[in-house]
Amino acid sequence: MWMSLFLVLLSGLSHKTTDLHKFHVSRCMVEYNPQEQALQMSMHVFIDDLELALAERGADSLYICTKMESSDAEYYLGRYLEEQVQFAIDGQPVSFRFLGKEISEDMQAVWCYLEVRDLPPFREMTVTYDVLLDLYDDQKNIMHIVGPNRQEGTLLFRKGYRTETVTFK
Amino acid sequence: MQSTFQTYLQLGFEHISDLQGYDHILFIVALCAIYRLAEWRKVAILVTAFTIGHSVTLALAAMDIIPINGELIEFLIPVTIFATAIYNVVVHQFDSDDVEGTFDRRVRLNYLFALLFGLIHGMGFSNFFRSLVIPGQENSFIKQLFAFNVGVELGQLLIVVVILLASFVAFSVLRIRQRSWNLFISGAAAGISLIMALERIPW
Repeated sequence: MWMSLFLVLLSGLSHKTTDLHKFHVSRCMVEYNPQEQALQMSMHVFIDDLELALAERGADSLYICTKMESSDAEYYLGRYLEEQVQFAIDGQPVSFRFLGKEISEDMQAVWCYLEVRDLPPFREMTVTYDVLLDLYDDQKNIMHIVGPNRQEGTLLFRKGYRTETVTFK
Repeated sequence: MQSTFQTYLQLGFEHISDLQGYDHILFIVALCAIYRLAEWRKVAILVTAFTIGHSVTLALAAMDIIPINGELIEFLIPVTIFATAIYNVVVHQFDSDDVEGTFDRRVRLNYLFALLFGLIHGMGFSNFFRSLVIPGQENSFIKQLFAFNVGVELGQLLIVVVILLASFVAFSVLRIRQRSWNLFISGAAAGISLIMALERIPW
């Protein structure tokens, strides 16, 4: 009784929108698609952080995912991701294509879609996931991986842990 | 490859034991301030009460069953620390200066407080946890939540061990009385948490 009253009281006061975003985290799903022989990625990155990182590289006023979005926005975004996210498959660097982006449900983040095509199943993958690591000391990048053999795992990238290698048995 | 369980366990552990965001550490330190190493059973009950509290709201808020007002929770967290510290000093009167140990019967109230305050801290944890979940990953959500919670418990255990060992050194090496120790630790916790609360006033 006491406790439910307390809970109701607390949740009743919770009208403001939650600002999830004081935490510096980006998230990425990487899955190997055997039918299409492709490594497919969807990455969730907060727009304000991304714009800050791009502005530091000289690309400012991009207004990503707004009506005022600069026509160069996707170009700079794609180039940034190519620099910051790198894959080597069985020891060979591969390049991915930036397929596109869309705004997240809460309008705070952008989903970026990337793909490595014409990739036969592989055993080993080395990932560098540097996105925003130079911007914030407490930035964390989480990558969930589903490999060619359906083996799953989650990697955590941050300062000092920018590159990881995984082997699929 | 690092499993999803390991990664979220690590994230939970680091979240509670992070010196950059020391509010949860400070709360546990305040909870333990009235105890000595020999009273570890009471500490275990207290910490379990806190764990039950924060596990409930972490799960409920992570699953979107209860809404979270982040700003309000961030403000209430130092308030719980301040209240615990004041409670330690006001209610926890040691019977006399010669007798050491916790004899006051009212001391059991703090188990209830630990539980209720745990509810608030759990909402704080869930706020962070929700920023770690990969949207569209519903099938591993429960695993992530469970692993994160286990990580939080392990971090909490580490903090309890450190503070009890510190009190052991204080009592046995430095010859500090238990009441002085309590005043010292609770006073520090009250001061820090008051500033923290003032900085986080949401209105």
